Amino acid sequence: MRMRTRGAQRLTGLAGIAALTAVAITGCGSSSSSSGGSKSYSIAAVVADAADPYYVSMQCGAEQEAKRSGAKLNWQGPAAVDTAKEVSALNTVSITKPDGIMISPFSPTAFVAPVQRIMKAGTPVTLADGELSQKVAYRTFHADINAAGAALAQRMASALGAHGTLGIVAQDPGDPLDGNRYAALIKVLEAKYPGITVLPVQYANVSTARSASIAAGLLRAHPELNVLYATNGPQAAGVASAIAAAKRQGSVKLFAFDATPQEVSQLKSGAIDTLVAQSPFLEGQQGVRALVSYLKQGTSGPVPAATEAYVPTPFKVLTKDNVEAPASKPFLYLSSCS
Amino acid sequence: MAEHAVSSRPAAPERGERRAVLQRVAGHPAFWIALIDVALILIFGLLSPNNVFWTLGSFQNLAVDSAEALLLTTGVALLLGAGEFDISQGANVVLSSVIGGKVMLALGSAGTLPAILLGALTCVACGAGMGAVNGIVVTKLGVNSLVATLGTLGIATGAADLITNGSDLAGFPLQLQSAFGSRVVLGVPLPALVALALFGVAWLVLRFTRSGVRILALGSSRESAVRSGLRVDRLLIVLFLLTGALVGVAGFIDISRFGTTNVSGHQTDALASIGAAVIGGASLWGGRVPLLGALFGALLAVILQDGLVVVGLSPFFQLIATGVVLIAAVHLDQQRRQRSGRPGRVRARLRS
Repeated sequence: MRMRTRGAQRLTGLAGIAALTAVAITGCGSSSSSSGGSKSYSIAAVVADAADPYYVSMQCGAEQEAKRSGAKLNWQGPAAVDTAKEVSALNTVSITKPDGIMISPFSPTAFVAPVQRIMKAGTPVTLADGELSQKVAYRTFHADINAAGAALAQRMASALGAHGTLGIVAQDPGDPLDGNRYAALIKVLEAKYPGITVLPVQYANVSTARSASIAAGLLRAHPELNVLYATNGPQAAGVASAIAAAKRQGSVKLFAFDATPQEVSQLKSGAIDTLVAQSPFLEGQQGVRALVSYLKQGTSGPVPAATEAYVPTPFKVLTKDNVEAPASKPFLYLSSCS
Repeated sequence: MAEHAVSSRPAAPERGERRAVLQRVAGHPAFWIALIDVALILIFGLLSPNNVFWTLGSFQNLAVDSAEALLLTTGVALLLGAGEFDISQGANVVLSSVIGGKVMLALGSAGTLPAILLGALTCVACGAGMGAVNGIVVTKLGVNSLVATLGTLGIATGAADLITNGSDLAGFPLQLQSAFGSRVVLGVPLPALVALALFGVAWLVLRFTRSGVRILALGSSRESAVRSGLRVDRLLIVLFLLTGALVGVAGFIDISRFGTTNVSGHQTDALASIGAAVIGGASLWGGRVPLLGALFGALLAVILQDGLVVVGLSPFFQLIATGVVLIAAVHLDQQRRQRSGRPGRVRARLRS
C-alpha cells in the first residue's frame, strides 16, 4: 500500500513534467507547423545569440522575406554566444532536412566542415553577417566593416578637428565580430589622422556597469580624453552615464556601434554624438531571399559555393540630423518585429 | 542498484525476489530520470517533421553532443559525492583546449599524428593540473571548494585569454576532425565512445574499489573519515586531479569536434553539469554518487536542447524547460527520500 502511493505520487509528478513539456511544445509549435502549400519552402536559421537585438532585427527581416515568398522559418541559436552550442544547433537543425539554411556564424572556422557537408547534400546555406575562413557558403551577406570603420574615423576626425585622445570600450577579446568593430577604426586613425591618440582597448563584456567604471577610470586618468567609443549598446549606455557623472558632456564626445533602441534615444537626446550601424534587417532579408531564389531554380545535387567572399550590405553613420530620416529606418535595431 | 551509499545499502529482500527487484529498480533515481529521457525522446519524435528525431543521424547527434557534458557531469558527481564542488569546469575546458591546441600547432611540422597525440595528452595533463590546483587550494589552503573553484575559474579564464590574446586558435590539422572529432565507429561517434568508456571506468572504480568507498566516506561524514585514519587531503587532491583530467578530455573533444578553440564559450558548463548530477540524484551535501543518474541527467539536458530545435521551438524555451525539469526532478527525489527515511533534507538541515 505504501509502495503504491509512493509510486503513484512519483508517476503524477512525472506525468506532470511530460504534460508540461508537451503542452509547451504543441501549444507553440502549432503556429509554425502549417505547411502544405506546394511551393512552401522550409528555411532554418541559426544565429550566434538569439537574445541580442541585432539578431532580433535580423529575424524581423528574415520573417518578412519568408512571409513574402511563402516560406516557413525556423529560428534557432544559443541564448548567449558559444561556438559549440551554435554548431550543435546547426547540426541538429540539419537533421530536420530544411530546404535551405541561413547562418550567422560566430566562429570563422568551426562552421566550415558542417556547411560543406550540408551544401554537398544539396541544401543551400547562406551567411548573414560574419564570414568563414573558406569560401564554402552559397552566398554571404554583411556590411563592409572596413569601410564602416573608415567612415567612423572620418566623422570622428571632423568632429574633433583631427586632434584628440580616443578611449575604446570593447566587448571581450575573444569575440571576432566585436574585434572588427574597432580594428578598422584604429587602423584608419593611425594611418590618416596621427593627431588622434588611441589608448589601449578596454573590455567591458557587454556590462553597462563595467563600462561605466572603465569609462570613469579613463576620464580620471586622461584629462585630455575627448572622445570615447563603445562597441555596442549596453556599453554605450554605461559610458554615457560615466561621462554625465564626470560632468564632461561638453568636452567628451561619445561614439558607438549599433543602433539599439536605447542608443537611438540617446543619440536623439545628445548623450551620443554618432552611431554607426549595419542593417541586420537587410542581411536577414537578403539571406532568405537568396535561399528562396536558389530553391526556385529547382536545381538538384550539390550546391555550388560562391566565388566572391561576400555581397556587401549597406551600413550607415547616424547622427542627430539624419536619424529621423526614412532612409535611416532599416538601420535602427528592433526589440520586436511588427 | 548502482546508487552507492555507505550508510544505507539496500536491505536484503524479505519476501518475493521479483517484487524486490522491481522495487529496487523503481526506487532507483536513475530509473525515473531514464524514464523522462525516454518519454521526451518519444514526444520529440512524434512532434518532429517526418519523425526525424528518431533517425540514426539524430541519435548520433545526441550522442556526440552529450560527450563533453557526460565527462563534466561524471566529474562533478564524484566531487559532490565527496562533499565538494567544482565550478571551474568550463574555464578548465577552455584553458586545457587552448594549451593543448598551442602544443598541437607548435608541433605541426613534426607530423600530424604525433602533434595530435601530444596535443591530446597536453589537454588531459593540463586539465588534471588544474584539478590538482583546485584540490591543493581546498585542502592545503583550507579554502571552501565553492570559493576555491570560483577563484580558479577566474584564473583559468584569464590565463586562456592571455595565451590566445582573446582570439580563438585555428589552423589545426584536418585529420583532428576526420580521425577523432567527427569519426563514427560502429555507428557511434568516437567522442561519445571515449566519454562513455571513461564513465564506465569511474563507475567501476566507485562500485568495486576501496577508493570508491572512501570517496563516499568523505562526503558522508568528513569528521569520521578523518578519525578513522583516512588521508583525507591526499584523497581529495587525487580526486580533484582525476576529475580535472576528465575535464581535460572534454577540452580535447572540443577542439577536435570544431577545429577551433572556444574561448568565449563554456561559461555555463559547470552549472549545467552540477544541474545534471543533481537531476540524477546527487546530493549537494555529499555522501552519494548516483553515477547512472548523472548519465541520464546529462542526457536529459541534451535531449531537451536538441529536441526543441528539431521541433522548431524558440531557443529561449530550452532554458525554461531545463530549469523546470531541474526543480521538478529534485523535488520528486526529496519526497522519495523523506518517505523512505533516507538522509535527505533532514540531514541537510542538521548540517546547515
